[in-house]
Amino acid sequence: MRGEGAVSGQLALMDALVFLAVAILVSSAMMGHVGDPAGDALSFSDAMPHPTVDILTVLMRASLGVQMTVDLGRELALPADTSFAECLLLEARAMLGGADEAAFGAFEARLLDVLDSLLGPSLRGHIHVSVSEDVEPPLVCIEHSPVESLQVSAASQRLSDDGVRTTAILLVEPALGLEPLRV
Amino acid sequence: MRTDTRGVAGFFEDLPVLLLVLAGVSSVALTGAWCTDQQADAARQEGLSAAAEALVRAAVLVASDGGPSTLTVGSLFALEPEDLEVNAAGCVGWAVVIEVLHPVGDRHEISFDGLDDLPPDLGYACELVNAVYEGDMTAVVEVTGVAW
Repeated sequence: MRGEGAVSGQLALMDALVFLAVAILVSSAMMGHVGDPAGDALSFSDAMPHPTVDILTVLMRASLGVQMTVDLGRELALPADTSFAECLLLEARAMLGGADEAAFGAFEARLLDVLDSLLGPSLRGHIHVSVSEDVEPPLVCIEHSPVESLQVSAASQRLSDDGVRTTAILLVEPALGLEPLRV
Repeated sequence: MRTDTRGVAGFFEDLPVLLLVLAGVSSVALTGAWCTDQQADAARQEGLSAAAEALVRAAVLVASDGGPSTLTVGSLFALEPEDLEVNAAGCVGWAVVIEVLHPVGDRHEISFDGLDDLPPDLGYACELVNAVYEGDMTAVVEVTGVAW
């Protein structure tokens, strides 16, 4: 009868609407599960070309590359194959003994040049050397300028344990004027 | 059981219902196809990245045949495509670039080109290592691998 047919047609339309709503929900759930990898935000450390600890490790083992002399009252020659770790340890011990940091100016400039070539133009590095448990203030600071960014990646390496525990710390931040790395 | 068939509607007589049902089915089917394609892309990209990492590791291992202390810049520069191609199985093409970062200078490329144009999907891996350079100097070398 007409009345019964009209009621059946309305119920079928409602069922179809419910089916469409459920289908859209299922589609959304599937898309959400797969996700969009390009939208995942990475931390600053994840976005660096190399882990900070790897950069510090290879830098400390690397050689000066050129012969240098340090004036500590008497001239001390540093052969070209002296490692950066040995030079930093020498500087830390000299500073503990009251030497002037300016005596190591050429070595610090060389270290900064090498660090810049490892990090590239988008990153800036800082080398701090601390003794015993006193991380702040560091005994030696080798950097172009103080740390400015809130996004800093750090790594440390023990240079010496005999007598005075000396630790080298590498801090890496985005270079001035560049936005923090984000994907 | 209904015996009066005059009230029974045919399949295409209730078009709005039909359209809504088809829209729902299409939504699920197309989303499923898209998700499958996305996951295939992600798996392919992971495979390329793994191949690039294997190339970099193989380059360092083959060059330091006697152990890490015997790794020299010369042995890295002496690598040939035949030394590394087994690690790029399944890749159409690959390349390994060895660059001395400290002291700045030398660069060596090893590659196997399988395509004329660079493809859109690339796997990339990079590693810093120390290597002996010109006598007793310890250099910093960057080994980069690319696979497609």
